[in-house]
Order: sequence, then structure tokens, then C-alpha cells
Amino acid sequence: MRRLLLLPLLLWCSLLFASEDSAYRFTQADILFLSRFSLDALPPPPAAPDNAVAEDPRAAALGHRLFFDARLSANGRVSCASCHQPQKYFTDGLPRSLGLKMTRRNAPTVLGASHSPWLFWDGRKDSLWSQALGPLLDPGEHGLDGAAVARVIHRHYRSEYRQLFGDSGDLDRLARAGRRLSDARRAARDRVLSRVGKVIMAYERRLQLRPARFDRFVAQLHRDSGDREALAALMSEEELAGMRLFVGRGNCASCHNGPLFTNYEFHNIGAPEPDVARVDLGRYAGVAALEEDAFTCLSRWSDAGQGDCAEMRFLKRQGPELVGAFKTPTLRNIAQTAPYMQAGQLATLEQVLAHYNAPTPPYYDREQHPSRPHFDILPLGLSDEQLGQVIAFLGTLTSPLPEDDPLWGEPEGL
Amino acid sequence: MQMFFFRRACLVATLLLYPCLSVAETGDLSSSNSLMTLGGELLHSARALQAESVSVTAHSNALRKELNRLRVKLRSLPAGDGREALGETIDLLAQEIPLWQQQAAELRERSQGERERALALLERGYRELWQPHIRLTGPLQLEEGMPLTSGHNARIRSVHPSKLNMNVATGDSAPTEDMTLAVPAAQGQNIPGELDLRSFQISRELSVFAHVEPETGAGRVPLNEIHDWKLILSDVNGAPLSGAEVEIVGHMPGHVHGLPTQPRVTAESAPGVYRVQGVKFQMTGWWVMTFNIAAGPLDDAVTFNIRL
Ligand code: HEC
Ligand code: HEC
Repeated sequence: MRRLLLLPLLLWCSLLFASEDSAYRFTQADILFLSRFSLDALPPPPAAPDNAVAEDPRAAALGHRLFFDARLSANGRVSCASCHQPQKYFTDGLPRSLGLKMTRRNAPTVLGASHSPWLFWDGRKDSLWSQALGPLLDPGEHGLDGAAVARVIHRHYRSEYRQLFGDSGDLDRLARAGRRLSDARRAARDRVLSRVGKVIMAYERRLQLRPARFDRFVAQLHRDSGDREALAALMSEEELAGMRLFVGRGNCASCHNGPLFTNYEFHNIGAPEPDVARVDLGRYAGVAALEEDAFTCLSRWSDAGQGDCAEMRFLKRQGPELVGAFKTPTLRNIAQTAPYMQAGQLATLEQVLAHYNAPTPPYYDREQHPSRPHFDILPLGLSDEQLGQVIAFLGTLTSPLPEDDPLWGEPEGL
Repeated sequence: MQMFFFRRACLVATLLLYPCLSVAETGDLSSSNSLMTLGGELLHSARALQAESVSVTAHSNALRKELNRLRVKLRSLPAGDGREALGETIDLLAQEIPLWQQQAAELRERSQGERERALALLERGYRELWQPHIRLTGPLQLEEGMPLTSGHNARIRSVHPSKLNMNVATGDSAPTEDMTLAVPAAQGQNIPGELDLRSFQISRELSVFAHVEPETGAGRVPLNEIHDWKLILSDVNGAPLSGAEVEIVGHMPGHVHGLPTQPRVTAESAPGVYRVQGVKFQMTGWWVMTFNIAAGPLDDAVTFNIRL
């Protein structure tokens, strides 16, 4: 009698294991596919011919200090790090940020930004150095003007500046009193600004992510994909189910792909319009701003040569798909960087997934939109359990905070 | 009509004779020219056949409409002699329709065959004429070692919000043979089997013959990298088309998005040889690249299919 009971039990057990095993079974083609999402596949940031000091360690050291220096603000209390806090993976945990005032959009992470051809949610900047001037000069963020930036550099960083750029004539000129804005003074101001941006960029380019559990899982697949125990110690069955949905039926990987989980393209996923009285035109407005911008790769402040700046020269200026489209954000550390979307409209990953599962079409206002916004996603029809699995998978993309990495902390002597 | 068939018979005869002629004249540019001229004429005749097939189809459609009208009438007619006669007419008409349809299909098929032969001739002549400028004769291909997928939604097209519910994402796609991961984006679009991938194409109005190739080290298309193309434009006899204004439009059928950049012609390095800069593809799959061409009175467009 006992034997008779044992048999089905054994069968049941083996079935159970078989199903577990299949969760952890990956073919060579699978492993190759997943490798493309691993941090190991992340190349160094692309060359930056428009920034001559992009790779200069002295520039990075100075940029590190500027990034954390609140003296670079009208009230002496706002630094880049106020809104891009290393402990929060260079975000601030707020729906919209607080500088001198509240910003219109949510602060994205700076991690990985050096890989993107376009910066900001709407891509209105074409380099990190030009981007950095945005918050410095924004009355609602650092609230400075060019001359004020130069005065701070003159007072606190003159010798570093001089070492790096050969002379400090511009700084000295701007530090001297004189309200009249001559052409020479204006040029000095813009040159100083662009250089301040370039050293901050040199710092940002050096920020690196440590492998997250997902990366270690892929590395283990490469080492020994048969070692089920080692694999299971890195990712649970639920997380793996989520991963399969992420690249599969959820189709997330069609936009969130590559080692940083973004294609850096602009899409409209119909996230709720934060302010229907003043709709956010996204990339459509970003392109217009780029055409006006005085600090692009094509400007006189860029170090690029003829033939560089291809992204700017062949900028796509038209197309209905630009309206209300935003840059696909990285999903690295996403579980730690709530709230979500361009204005922090969605508080939790549960809300994000609920949106993808049954999305509302983009808000359309004939008065404000140049054309009906495109809509780039389809309802998914996943179960609650499956949505939970995707969220669990997103949790495996969190890198450990690198306590021992000096670039992730306040610089010494500030 | 008679005249037309006669001309085509001549053309076909010339074509049959052509191999003998060309043996005698290989390397002679004028022979390449005439090769193209022949191809051009054949192409026009293919187009005429196509037009004929269209008009035959239209006729058959008109018949069907009439037939439907009569059938409705028949239903409302009381029994009697009028009814009988109408029934007979209807039967007659109904027999006619398949015949017309068959004829349309035959014409279409002939036109397609003729078009194929014409394009082959044109391409041969063109390649001889433009040989110094041509490095790529096959289809455009992706650089080796490039990933399977890169870009976004393979299945997703722009939807009008009111149609949203008709477009629910399909369930798990069957995993490819060697993968347990079911990756919809990797399976690409519904690419038609017999997609014309030639890098030599005739324009919509049959007035321009064109060739494209990437100007990269390996002559292949890189992914996610801005690069240059060469575009060669000639008239249907192979003579360079100089000073043309070219507008470039790229898109992926079934996708929301076009090219991520706006490429353009930046120079004409030799008569008819144009440099196209700023080309970038952000994902693999089926791309359609259209070059709108304007030169004086000429207003035409030539399209290439690419499968990356
Ligand atoms: C008051 C808060 C605040 C301050 C201060 C601030 N930022 Fe930001 N940062 C933001 C917000 C909000 C955005 C998104 C704005 C948008 O897209 O319109 C942003 C965007 C960025 C981005 C773009 C990232 C991407 O992926 O596109 C970078 C890089 C960045 N900031 C760096 C800096 C630097 C460098 C400084 C200091 C010079 C700085 N920020 C100061 C709030 C702030
Ligand atoms: C069509 C491209 C596309 C697809 C498909 C897509 N995303 Fe996104 N994702 C975006 C864009 C664009 C944004 C920013 C939208 C905005 O702010 O309005 C975004 C934002 C997000 C955010 C918020 C990130 C942040 O920092 O605020 C999360 C989380 C996210 N997506 C997860 C997913 C998941 C999970 C899936 C699959 C179910 C998915 N995405 C599918 C393009 C896409």
C-alpha cells in the first residue's frame, strides 16, 4: 500500500523538478541574447570630439567638485547633487525636483547618460557639457547667470581652471566689475560656461555601475549554465518568469534594450498628461530647442572638427512621431528610483505596469498639439501574477551602491 | 491593340537575338546602352500589360455589380415570363465573369514576367556602364557580428486610440528553434517572402534607374551608426542624371517610426554619383528607403527594400 502511494509522489516530485529546471534552462542562443543586456556588454562612452577634456582626469576631478558644490547657485544651497543624489542612484526621489523652485519634470539618473546621443526627457541637448548649462542657468534650479558662474570659478577654482585650459584671462575679465556686456565679455562668458560644462561632463563620464544580480546571473550562465544551484542563488523563478515576459510577451525589450535597458529613442507610451493646461510636447519641442541652442556640437564652443556632430547635422526635425514622445529611460536601478515617468506621474512600479497592461491613449488637444500624438504601445493583457513577475525582474537590475568608489561620494576638501 | 502586340513580338525577337549580338560587342559601351534601351522598352510593354489587366479587372468588377443588381431585381419580380428571361441573362453574365478574371490574371502574370526580364536587362546594362563606381552588386547587408535585434516593437504600429481594443498584443510568440526565450522583437515583421531586395531599381515613372550602396569599409550597413551611402542616378539609357534634387525617406513597414536621422545628399562627386550622408538604422528588419527625385520637369521616386 505504501509503495503504491510512493510512486505517484515520486512522479509528482520529478514533474515539479522538471518544471523548475526548465525555468533555469537556457540555450546558447538564449545566453547570447541575454548577454547583450549585461553590463559586460557596455562599451566605454562614445568618443566626444566636441569636448577636448572629456578624458582628462584633472577635468573629471574638477567636475566632481563642481557637481557637489552648492556655491554654484543663487542661494548657495543647490548643487547638481541636490537633485542627483548618489545614494539614490543620482535621482532625488521626488515627482518633480526642488531647486530654487519646483521643476517641470522629474530628475532622471545621470548614470549611463554619457551613452545617450540626446539629453533630457525631450532630448533638447546634444551633449552632457551643454546639458549641464541648463540647470545652472535655469532660474528655478541653480538660478545663476554666466557671469555669476564665472565668479564662483574665479574665486574657488581659478588655479585648476588655469591648469586645465592654459589661461584664466576670461575668468579675470569677468570677475572685474563692469555691467556692460561687450562682445568680448559675452564671448568670455560663453567660453567659461562651456568649459564648466565640459569638466562636469568629464566627471559624469567616469561614473560606473557595479554588476547587478541580473549581470551576475548572465555571467554565471556563461561560466556554467548547468549549475542550477548557482543560478538559483542569483535569480528566483519568479524573477526569471518576469525576465521572460520582459523580453517576450511584454515586449518591453523592444524599447528598453541593451546593457542600459534603453534604445535612447523617443516614444510616446501615453503616460498620463501631467498638466492638460500646458501639454508637454516632448521631442517635438526638444528638436525646436536644439535648433536654437547656442551650445551644440556645431556651435563655436564645441571642440569638434569638420565632419563630426553627425547627429546634429542630420537631426530629424519632422515627423508626427515626435509629438509628445520622450526618451526611453534606463531601467538600471529602477526599483530604487521612484517615482516614474517624465513628471513623476506614477508613484510605483505597480502603477507603471498597470499602465503598460491597459494603457490610456495619449492626451490630445487640438489647440495645443501640432498633430495627434502617435501611440507606440499596445495593451498587454497580462495577469496580476505576471505583472508581479515583471516587477520582480526589474528588482534584479539594482546595482549595489559602491561605497568605496570616491566618484559616488562628496569630493574631499569641499 | 494589334500594333501593340506586333511591337512586342519584335521586341521579343530582338531579345532572343541579343546574346549573339552581345558576344560580338562585349565591352562596348554602346551595347550596354542598347541593352538598357531594350530593357526600358520591355518595361513599358510590361506596364502596358499591367494597365490592360487593370482595365480587364475593372470590366469584370462592373459585370459583377450589374449581376448583383439584376439578382436583387429578380428577387422582387413576381413569377412570370419576364422573370424567366432575366434569370437567363443572369446565368450568362455569371459565366462571363470568371473568364474575364482569368484573362486579367494571365495579363498580370505576363506583365510580371516581362517586368522581371526588363529589370534584369536594365541592371546588366547599367552595371557595365557604371562599373567603375559600383562595388556592391547584391542586396544591402548588415555588417557581420551585429546583434539580432536592437530597436523597438516589431509588432506595434501606430494605432488610432479609437481602435485600441482591436489591437491587443498577441500572446507569446512561438520561440525560435534554438531559443527558449520567446522574443517577439527578434522575429521581426511580416516580411513578404519574395521581397525585391535588389540594389538596382527603376523609378516609379520608369524614367530613372538607380543604384545604392553603403560607403563603409566592408560595404555593409552598420547598426546604430551614422554612415554614408552612394546613390547613382541615370536615365533609362544609362546616361547620368546630374544636378537632381533628392529627398530621402526611410521607414519600416508596420512600425510607427522612420529613420532616427534625416539623411541627405551632400555632394555629387561625379555626374550622376551622389553622396548621401547621415544614414542610420536603429534596428534590424525590413526597411524601405525611398528617394524622391526632382530634376527640371522630372518628378519621380525610386524605392529600395532592405532587409537588415
Ligand atoms: C533642481 C533639481 C536639479 C538640479 C539642481 C540639477 N538637475 Fe539635472 N535634472 C533635473 C531634472 C528635473 C532633469 C530633467 C529635466 C528635463 O528633462 O526637462 C534633469 C536632467 C539631467 C540630466 C539628463 C539625463 C538624461 O538621461 O537625459 C543630466 C545629465 C543632469 N540633469 C545633470 C545635472 C547636472 C550636471 C547638474 C548640475 C550642473 C544638474 N543636473 C542639476 C533636476 C536637476
Ligand atoms: C515603445 C517603447 C517602450 C516600450 C515597449 C516600453 N517602454 Fe517603458 N518607457 C518608454 C518611454 C518612452 C518611457 C518614458 C515615458 C514618459 O516619461 O512619458 C518609459 C518609461 C518606463 C518606466 C519609468 C522609468 C523612469 O525612470 O521613470 C518604466 C519602469 C518602464 N518604462 C518599464 C517598462 C516595462 C516593464 C515595459 C514592458 C511592459 C516597457 N517599459 C515597455 C518606452 C517604452
